Amino acid sequence: MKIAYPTQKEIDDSISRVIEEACPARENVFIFLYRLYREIGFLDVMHGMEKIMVPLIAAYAFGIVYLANNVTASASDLYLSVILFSPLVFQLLLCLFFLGEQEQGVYEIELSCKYTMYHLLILRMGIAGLFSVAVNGMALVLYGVSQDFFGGTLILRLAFLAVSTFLVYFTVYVHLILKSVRIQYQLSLYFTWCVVAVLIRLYIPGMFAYLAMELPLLIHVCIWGAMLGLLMRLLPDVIYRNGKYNLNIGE
Amino acid sequence: MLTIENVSKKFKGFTALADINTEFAEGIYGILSPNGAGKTTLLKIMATLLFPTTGTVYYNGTDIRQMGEQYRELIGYMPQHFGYYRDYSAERYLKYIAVLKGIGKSEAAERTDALLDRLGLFEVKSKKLKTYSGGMLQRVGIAQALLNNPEILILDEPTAGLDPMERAKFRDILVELAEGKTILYSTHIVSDVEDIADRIIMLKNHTLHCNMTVDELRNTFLQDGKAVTLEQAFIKTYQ
Repeated sequence: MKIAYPTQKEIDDSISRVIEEACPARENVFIFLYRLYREIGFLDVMHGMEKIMVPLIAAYAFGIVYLANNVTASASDLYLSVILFSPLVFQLLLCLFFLGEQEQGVYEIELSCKYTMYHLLILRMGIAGLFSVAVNGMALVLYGVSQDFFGGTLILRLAFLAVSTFLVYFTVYVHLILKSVRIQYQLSLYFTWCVVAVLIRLYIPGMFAYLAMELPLLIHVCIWGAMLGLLMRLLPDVIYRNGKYNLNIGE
Repeated sequence: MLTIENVSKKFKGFTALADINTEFAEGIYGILSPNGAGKTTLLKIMATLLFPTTGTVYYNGTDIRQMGEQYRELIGYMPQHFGYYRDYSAERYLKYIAVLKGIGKSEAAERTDALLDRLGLFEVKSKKLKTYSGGMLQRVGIAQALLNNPEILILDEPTAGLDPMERAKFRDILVELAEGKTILYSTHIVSDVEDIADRIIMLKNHTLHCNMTVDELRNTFLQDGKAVTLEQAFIKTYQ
């Protein structure tokens, strides 16, 4: 029997099919995380966190009402507080996540499942980040309104600064947990962040004023792009536990 | 087929496992050794909780670390100290673990009910886990390991805290499940594995001492020309 030699198109199609099967294209990390979120669901991603979110919002509301009535801050203080508070809720929620996993020992089972606690961690980082930005944004608006701060582009600039500082912190945080997931190190990171911001404000006021209050909005957008790009590269390492210590919280 | 090739594990200078080489085919493997010999470390490596310092574990020729999710879909793991969320009911907890195992919601509900029924927890499935006794919690731990009908079942001291009746029931379940599966069963209680294990693994001084059938092991130590019991063989090995 004579077998016809395949056409060039057939050869190309076959090669493409073999390559597709053998080397599937790696899914974009953000698309993968969205699919994962849909599969796991909000309640299971955030289980246990609802207990802390309500007191956190209450503490913020109380703090804002107190500050609005008792403290008069300058616009510069407002910028500093954005830098200090942007990552606070995010960091607190993630420390509580690790603390809960370690105390209850559930991580051993979660690490053996198809989706491990590191898949959950990434999703929680995203949700904690959005929650952090929302809570801080509301707090700022409430305080700003009470102090009659808002005029011109101040609110827009504050919002851009909040997102930029949060994304920079997020990226540094992911770098840190690829080295070690110890809670002491995570808290030290936040402490160092605050100290550096306060020192710059006190001792290099010109630089602080430029970075916080005058940096062009376009530069902020560039910072977002750079940080998101870095996160796209780093987050798969967290999921696949490619860190220096393999991200083994029990080790 | 699981193949362990030159696996060692060190923790800050302490060697927990040294150069382990062995294979696990289908069947029940009883892992017996005294405390501190490296059983739990070995099982944690098999469950991908830990990665070896050197060496590789292969599943049908592929590195399990490379397989990632694909490998974890195949395994069920019950750790020695079973962690749980105290405020969850057994039903809620199992459904949560089912989601992490990638099981669809309706299938998860079916499997959860079936396992709770089989393990005698169906009537109390809505009660919070913090109200459960040690034996009941142990059964929840066993249920979560079986949720995805795993091809490889890794059990680290699964019968600790169970009464003799429950242990016997658990052995029956394992025997039923064993068809076509690889079951790694670590225990201190020799009688738990004596009748059901196809092979016995023993670790001594952090290395593999043996991987042989129960009869081969019993015949290793003859007493008056007769094979000893598995318990006697265990004692003689570590004397």
